[in-house]
Amino acid sequence: MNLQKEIIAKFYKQYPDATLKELSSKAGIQITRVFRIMNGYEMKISEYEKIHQLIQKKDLSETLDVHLETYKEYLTELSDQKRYSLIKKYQHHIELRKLTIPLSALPQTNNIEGGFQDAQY
Amino acid sequence: MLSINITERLITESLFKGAKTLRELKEDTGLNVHIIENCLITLLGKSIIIKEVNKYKFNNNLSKEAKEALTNDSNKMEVKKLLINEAIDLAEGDNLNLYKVSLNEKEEKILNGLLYNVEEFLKSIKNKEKTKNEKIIFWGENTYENLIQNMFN
Repeated sequence: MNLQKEIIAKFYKQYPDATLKELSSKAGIQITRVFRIMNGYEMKISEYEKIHQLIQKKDLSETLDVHLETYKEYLTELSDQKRYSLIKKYQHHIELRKLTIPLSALPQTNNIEGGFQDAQY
Repeated sequence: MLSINITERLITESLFKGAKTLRELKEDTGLNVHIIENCLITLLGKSIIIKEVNKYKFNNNLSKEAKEALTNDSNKMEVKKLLINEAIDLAEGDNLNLYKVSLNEKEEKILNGLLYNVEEFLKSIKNKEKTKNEKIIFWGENTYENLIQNMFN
């Protein structure tokens, strides 16, 4: 249910004024299902994926393209020092994002001595 | 050179105050459990922390490299900048104050004296709150000219 709340919050961050009808037509989910989901019914995996794809699509088609173009133009104007510090900043943020991936999804960490017995709660 | 990111630093600071279980760390830092687990793995690998039964604790016998990663001036400056950037990003209303003033020598001395007192006051406070509730307070100064010039670099 946490993932469901997260993805709905993300959707509304990208489409702050979207109505239930718009969410329904954009994601291709029946409006009655959208209504139920918004009222606490559990989302199906297929519904989760549809909303996830919708968010990714918007990310890539709008924000990312515009950002990359602006960023490229900006980079060419920058001093080496500023460019270096920007790259470091981006790398740092990418590194932090990676930390949100659960350990169980990272097979190479399963062998770590000691484990996380108290992680299950 | 050994490096340590901001979340690893937060966890290290929390454990420096006392040994904690994963659950206690979550409560003290407010971090997502996946992030804590990932950081603990790294911190254990770097021997900055150690594990005893179910508790994680700060390693008091840090290697020279680990000590350097935690206390190195340029690393500390990076952390300051990161936190200040985020604070500015989140700033609303009175959370952020900025003044443009010309100070004569006397006024500059008064300001420095006042800031010294603020700093001494802050240093004298013992951290009793959860790490996540600690306040980030910052100040600094520069000339208008330097800041504008820097925008063109």
